[in-house]
Amino acid sequence: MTSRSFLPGVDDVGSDVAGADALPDRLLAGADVLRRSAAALAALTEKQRMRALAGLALCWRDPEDEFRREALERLPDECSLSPEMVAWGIEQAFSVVTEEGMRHWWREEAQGKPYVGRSPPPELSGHVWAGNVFVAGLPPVIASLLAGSPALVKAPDRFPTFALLLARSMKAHAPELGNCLGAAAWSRDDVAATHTFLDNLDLLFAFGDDDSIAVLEQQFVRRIVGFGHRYSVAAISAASLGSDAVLDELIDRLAVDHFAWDGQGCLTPRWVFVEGSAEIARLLAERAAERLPSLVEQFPAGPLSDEEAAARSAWLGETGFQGWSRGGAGWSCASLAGSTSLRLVPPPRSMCFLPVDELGDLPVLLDPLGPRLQGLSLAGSETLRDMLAEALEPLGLSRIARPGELQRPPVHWSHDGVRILGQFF
Amino acid sequence: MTSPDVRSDALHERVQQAIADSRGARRWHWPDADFAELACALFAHQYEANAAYRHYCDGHDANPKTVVSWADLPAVPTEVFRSVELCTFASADSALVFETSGTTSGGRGRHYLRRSDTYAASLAAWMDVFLLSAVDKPQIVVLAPSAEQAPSSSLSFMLQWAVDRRGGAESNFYWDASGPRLAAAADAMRRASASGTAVLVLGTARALQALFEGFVAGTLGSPPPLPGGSRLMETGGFKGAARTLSRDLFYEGLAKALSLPLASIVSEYGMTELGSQGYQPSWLASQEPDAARRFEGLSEKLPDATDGSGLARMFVFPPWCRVQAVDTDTLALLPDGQRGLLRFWDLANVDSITAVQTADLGVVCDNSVVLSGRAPGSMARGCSLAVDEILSGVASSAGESRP
Repeated sequence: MTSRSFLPGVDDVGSDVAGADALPDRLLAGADVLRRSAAALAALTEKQRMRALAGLALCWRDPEDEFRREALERLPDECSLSPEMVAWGIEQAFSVVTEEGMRHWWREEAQGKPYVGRSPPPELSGHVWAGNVFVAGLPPVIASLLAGSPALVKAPDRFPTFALLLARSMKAHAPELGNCLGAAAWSRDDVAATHTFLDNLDLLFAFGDDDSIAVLEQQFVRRIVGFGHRYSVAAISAASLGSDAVLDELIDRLAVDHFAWDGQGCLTPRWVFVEGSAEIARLLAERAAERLPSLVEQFPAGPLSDEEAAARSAWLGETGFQGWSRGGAGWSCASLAGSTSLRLVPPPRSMCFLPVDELGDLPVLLDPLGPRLQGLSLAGSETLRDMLAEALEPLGLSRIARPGELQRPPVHWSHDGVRILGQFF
Repeated sequence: MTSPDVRSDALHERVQQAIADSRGARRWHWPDADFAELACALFAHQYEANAAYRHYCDGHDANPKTVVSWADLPAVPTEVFRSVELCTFASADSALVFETSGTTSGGRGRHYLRRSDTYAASLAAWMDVFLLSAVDKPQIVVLAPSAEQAPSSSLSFMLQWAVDRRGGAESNFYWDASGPRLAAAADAMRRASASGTAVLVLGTARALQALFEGFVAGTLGSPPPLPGGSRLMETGGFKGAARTLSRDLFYEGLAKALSLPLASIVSEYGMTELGSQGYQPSWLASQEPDAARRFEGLSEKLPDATDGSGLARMFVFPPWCRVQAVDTDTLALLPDGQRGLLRFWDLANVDSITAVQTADLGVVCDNSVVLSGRAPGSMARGCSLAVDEILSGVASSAGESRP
């Protein structure tokens, strides 16, 4: 696959026609094809759309599927992730795209609500993807198709593969949805392509850093839903600490939260707050140092960039002076004496244990970071969970999960607090 | 029990004697046992007298009883010099405090020196070998601040030492509050050219680039042909310069402008956190056949060790300052020839930290380094928030390094 776009009705009808045109022209033609398909897509019942999307997800989980195989071949290098991590990401993303999951989503956010926008439903939604967590933008695309709106994805120039494969697989595996999904990859420097893209959308979902989203908000005159960069944390209540076996299982689960996506997702915990003393935090860090080397095999690390290597070395040194630290191939961990040490931001694939007197102090501790909190991996009681959910909601909290589950959000997760399917109604 | 200061003085004497012996015998390497013995003695001193370092070492199960090899000394990343006072004495009693030029999140790194004579002994012994061995008292033209102008700069200390101890008549600094005094420096070179006095130009890469561009643009008049025996030392690299030339092209242009043999342009590598420096051996090799043969052999082992003209451009470190690359992931020592983060064991760091982990990347062979980059601040690739940017502004850069 060398193409930088898959626009149904354009890129699949004869390369001599498609290849001769510049990207803005092809985007314009592709958007037109997608728009013309909107009526047919909307005419399907939501159950038909759910069935088609769930079928597509099953294909992506099939080891023999050609698109999945191509993704596994290309994405590790493109995203600097290990093949195992790419496979895990694909499985995680598509395993939740089930008819049951989408029915729940529909009931929660769409049932009985009228469409909004210039025509019901929006004729074309746009999706700006960013970064190497390649499935992050999938739920809004699923939501769009579920709502009956064709979708057009702008993939980053550096990370084109998943978007293009998704669009091609949609055409191949869910033909009943018609020409419903197009994708192209280009650099933001291609202003003409970006303008053409934006000019043809009714609704835009955009992933990226705050500055990029702010620029898009200025450029796009209709409704935009931005997903900025966020952080997550983990917390362990004193009551959750127990025997060695309990601690080991807890660390193993936390490792999944930390290692998934090589620690670069917005649901990656940055710190593990431990209710108790500095000694308990260090005990956990020491146990983590014993267990993480073998747990790395489950989630092998992608190649470390020079920048990441230097930052990790510096972090291990600084935390070693202020507390305790250890590192090995693909992992590192530390404990610090006080939770004032948020200044020492851990590098990816690192577990940093910080003691707190009470987990109820978390809102105050995290307040300086502003409303950027995404997820909480919590080992604690239901009561504590409810208390923290309420207390951390003003900081942006959108997901609480048990350790090991944080990075497996359901398809209907309100990413950044946004009810994604509800945006279409 | 011996007081830390008495112990420190004894160690300074030992290190200085070892440097002097090495210099006298023109040794490139010390036997492992000799280096290890002195390195472990320094480690014991630093472990005993620096509580912060002791805590760090204890966390790595390292103490004077368990550490028997220089390679086992717990290395301290240069970043830590920003946040921790790494000295075996009260920092207020420092004879010298060198600061990094970093202005970002972690503030400036500081290297506290209880005595300046060991630092001077180390820099003198190696600078003499690579820049000063053949000609006595060249006229030194410095395009960098003097020690008085920049008392916290290790580079200025070194350059001041060179002017004071090795400079001939009219050696001077050409620098003021606004930067390099290029016209005055050019005039000084012209006078030296007219009188046939060999010149040693010492300067930061950016200042030298400005000088070169001034000659090219004609704003500094015609470049003077420098007399035979003249040389030039560049330090500091080109990072951050408004316009950058490739190092090879810059050297070629500068050599041509000043009528210098290309081999007479030498780059120096140093950093605030180290008491020793490394030099490119091109000028030395052009003066001494034995040295030429040595570095020719070394060039064959090190990839990219020569420039386009075949001149040796690796940085050679003194035998009292060992360097090895470590694996970027495991931080384990790598064999010679493999690329990794550079780690130094500098015996001139008597009262601070002997084992220093840098953010520089390179390939090492026989205690010589071919640099392959410096890791800037880390940048996440996913949707994870760069929390440090919120907390403390732009991500940090590494400590001052002069190449």
